[in-house]
Amino acid sequence: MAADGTRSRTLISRAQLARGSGRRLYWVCLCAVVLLFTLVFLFPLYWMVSGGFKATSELVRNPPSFVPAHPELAPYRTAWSELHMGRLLLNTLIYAGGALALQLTFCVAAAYSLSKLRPVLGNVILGMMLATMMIPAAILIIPQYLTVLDLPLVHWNLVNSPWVIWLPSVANAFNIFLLKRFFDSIPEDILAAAAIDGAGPLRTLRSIVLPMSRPILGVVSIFTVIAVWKDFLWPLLTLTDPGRMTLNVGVNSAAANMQENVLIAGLAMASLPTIAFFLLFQRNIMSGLTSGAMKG
Amino acid sequence: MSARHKRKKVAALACAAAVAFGAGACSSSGGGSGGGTGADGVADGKPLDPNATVTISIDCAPASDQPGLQAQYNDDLATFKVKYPHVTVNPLPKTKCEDPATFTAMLKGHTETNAFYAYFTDQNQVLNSGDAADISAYVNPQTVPGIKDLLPTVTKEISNGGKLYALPRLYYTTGLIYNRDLFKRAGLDPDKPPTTWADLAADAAKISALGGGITGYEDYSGGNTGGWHFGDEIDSVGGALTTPDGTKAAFNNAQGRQVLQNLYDMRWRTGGIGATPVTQWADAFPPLASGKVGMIIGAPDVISHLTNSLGATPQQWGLGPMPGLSGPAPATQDGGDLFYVKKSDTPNQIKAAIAWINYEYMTPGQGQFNYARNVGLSGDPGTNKFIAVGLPEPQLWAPNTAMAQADAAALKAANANMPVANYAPYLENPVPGVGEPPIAAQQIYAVLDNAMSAVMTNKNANIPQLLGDAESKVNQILANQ
Amino acid sequence: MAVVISPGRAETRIAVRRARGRFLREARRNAQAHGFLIGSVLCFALFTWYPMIREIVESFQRLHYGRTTFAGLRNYRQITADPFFWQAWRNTLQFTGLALLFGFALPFAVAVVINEFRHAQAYLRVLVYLPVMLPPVAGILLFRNYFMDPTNAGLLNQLLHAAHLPASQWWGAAPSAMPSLVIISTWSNMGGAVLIYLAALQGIPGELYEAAEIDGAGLLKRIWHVTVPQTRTILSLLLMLQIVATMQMFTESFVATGGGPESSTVTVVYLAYNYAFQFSNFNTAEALGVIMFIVLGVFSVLYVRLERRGNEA
Repeated sequence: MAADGTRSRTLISRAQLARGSGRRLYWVCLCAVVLLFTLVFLFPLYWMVSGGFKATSELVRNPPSFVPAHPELAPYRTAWSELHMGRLLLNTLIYAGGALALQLTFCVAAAYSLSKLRPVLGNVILGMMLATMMIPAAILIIPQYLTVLDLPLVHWNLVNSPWVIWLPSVANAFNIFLLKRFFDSIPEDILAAAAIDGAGPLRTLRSIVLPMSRPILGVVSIFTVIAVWKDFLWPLLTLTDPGRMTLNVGVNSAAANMQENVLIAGLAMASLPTIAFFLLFQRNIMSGLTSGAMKG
Repeated sequence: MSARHKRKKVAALACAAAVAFGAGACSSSGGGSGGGTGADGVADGKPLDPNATVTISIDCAPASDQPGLQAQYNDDLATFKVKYPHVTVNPLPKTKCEDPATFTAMLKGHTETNAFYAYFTDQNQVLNSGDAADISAYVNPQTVPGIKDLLPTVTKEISNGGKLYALPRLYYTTGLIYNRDLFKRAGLDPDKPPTTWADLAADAAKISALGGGITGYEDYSGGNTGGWHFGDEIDSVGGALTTPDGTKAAFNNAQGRQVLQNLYDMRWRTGGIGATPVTQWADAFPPLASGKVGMIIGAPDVISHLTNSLGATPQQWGLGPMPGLSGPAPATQDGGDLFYVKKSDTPNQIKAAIAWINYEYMTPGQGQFNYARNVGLSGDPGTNKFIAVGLPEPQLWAPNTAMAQADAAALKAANANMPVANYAPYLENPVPGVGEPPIAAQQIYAVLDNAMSAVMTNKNANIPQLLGDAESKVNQILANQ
Repeated sequence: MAVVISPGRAETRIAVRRARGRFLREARRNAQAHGFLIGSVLCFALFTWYPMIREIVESFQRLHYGRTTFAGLRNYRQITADPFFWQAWRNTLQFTGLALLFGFALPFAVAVVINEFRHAQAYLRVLVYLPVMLPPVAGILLFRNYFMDPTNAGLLNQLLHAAHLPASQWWGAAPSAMPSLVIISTWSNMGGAVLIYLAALQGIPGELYEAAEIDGAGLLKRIWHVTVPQTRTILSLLLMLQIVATMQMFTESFVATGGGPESSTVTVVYLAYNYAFQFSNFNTAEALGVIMFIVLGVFSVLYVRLERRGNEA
């Protein structure tokens, strides 16, 4: 809300950087940092992508070769066909998309209720939700797995169905927390005005709260998609059918049976979709994170 | 692509049919009163009635990353279908037949296939889950002719307390796998692999001396594999990991020190071992396949892994006996895998599972032993369409039994596509196999990972102290079982 | 019942009616509010609260040949007597400590620096965030097999060699293993923290810096007296999340080192995983899970206390 176009000053005043010596220092620092960051964050990715174009003997060569001597597509082709990358990619997209839809529905509703409607025991419920952030996920996985095998009361077995990813993803305390914090910052009087106009909570949510919350919704969406994309142990245990595996698990489960250059090509391909997604939407992602994710 | 989809569709239809049929069988037996016969069959020790309609599922089928083995498996399914037209076998493909985490989860969730794959060492865990059927009443020389000719060590592994629980697929004893090309380059005789640990160290040093990041030998040190190999190596110098009843550590002695000292010397004095620790089972193989490492201790099927999945050429690999102190080892670790049958299966499902396992894994000249067909179906070596024929595996049969002879004859008739002569050092020096520790094996391995990695990563490792420390830890663990 | 209704009584009645109306309104409002909550609450109940209870119950049980029996404290005794129990805690705390040094201070410093630049800011933010997008296994394998290869052929060792520095064993020796894993984990995860800090930094009103500068505060003083207090809430929140997250370290040890060398990377969760999936002793693994839950629970209660006191002050 306080996104007033012009950027206010930061640690060092603009004037100071515009002056002669300050300016030189600024450019030197900038160049050094840009160079360093490119090396640290981009070079490993370059190594991975270019590794997929090398023969295994070249990949493990000492001293290393930085540019593929005889670039070949074969490792990528082998990785694509042997791993059924298309299938894995589609699976992962379905899991991430479903999780996103469910989380946007249920987490937003819950956060809105906890922030603005404030029902009895709301704080207790919030506390119980937040407490789950303290539970080591890797350890809770054991009873969680037993639960999805035979859901209490209804006795459904969710294993190897998309629901096994979608439903547990809704139990995401961090996203609810983020959303609630953001909703808390929306002034009550705006909502009160809407209420006087006769708007029910659902309409208020839809026509007032949500439009104001675009940045935080973006952030939550990104967290959700990334979480599904990166999760490893849970899909490893619950999606055991090779036709239903996620990209991450599929690549890993085949890793032991692949030549090194095919493996690195597989890793590169598994990383590419999210990186592309990120580069494509980075403006929205960044502005979402920056323009109001963390107020107060 | 389309063939795969078609197969999937067929499988789905079969599944639906099975569900429909299963439900029908359930309701009819619920309505009828008491009769023992019916669609579910009875445990009468007879082979499966060829007219019985049964559907079973079984895991450990080759996955799409192994098109060669997959073609072989599908061929077997088709032939089996001719024999038992009413039996439907639904294979569950696995890229790796057992992953400890998913395996444990599967037992915990009781989501096993009707017949399910396991390692020998999983017996406690499987029986503890209560999901394995006692198949003593089903298995006899009539239903499984090979059962009487199995190696005694294999017979021991498939039964417990006088009851039979499983049928074997594979048995092996470990040996020395080595890269013959590197041997030649280092001026060593590729037909004479080292048979003592001292020779192995000397040869490893020569191979390392080739330079360019090549090392002579590698060994495990993490993810519970280090302790596993320590057990193998202490057997090879006449020691043992635990007392025979498995209740006390037995490695804090001269033999244990010898094993560790030998590795220490290779790493820090003679240079036979490199700086990169091998912390997981699968991590050992890429450097072998790419010619960066000369030797490793392992089962013969390591060679087929190197050639089928990792693109190595078969001719490159030799197989020697497990080295000992003064010639081949007096004993070496053995291992293998098998299929359990699920307790909740109907008698006819159990019979069908036994019939299929017998056909696919336990009959000379058929299934995995159908060498002539395997050679015919095999693609080029060094690709994943390759089917290795001629490796000294799966070693199920006791020497000189009818099964062993039939198997040898089938192999002879088939023109092996693997260089059988390269395995002569292994075959001519048979080393008797010893099982893994009976109690808490994985926990003992976890402790000994520590000692193994210490001697191979820490120049200041104190071997007597490491062993003493490990001994007290292992005894502590065993006392707590 | 010819009771004359006194004005006072009428008032009470109206008040009662009003109260009832208010109560009904309140009830309706609450029902509505809970209606909004129900979906999430159900998911939490099924997939975290119930499994948590189950974990506690099962930590007191034992499975023996398909039958579950009450085991009292046996699982707890077994896990605390495990030779790796204390080492796992020490290793985990070492990881957490190092990860805080790198993974907490470094992103803050990076954010402060990036925030000062008027150029290439977007580029730098994208770079820092890129590794977050990788599947974790990819990042770990990349570093393990190529950059941190303990032989002289490793890319980082070649770099050290070029700079005439001694080569490191990286994850291949006990003293450097955990720091190596921390570096990998920081590389892959710091992007998120940097972005959040950046967001917080950009919310700091420029007048505060202005005023501080007029008061004669130097660069460091401005950071200490303006930047840090202004981002205190978010800093302390991330600090807590980071501690909780790093205490659960597992994937790096599992994929890169298998707990070695010399057990230097066996963490608490790794030990629990080993118990559950390698030693197939779920109940003891769950006992360790409960212990960990208690430790983290105590920690977060302390955090909330301190936080509250900090806010009041």
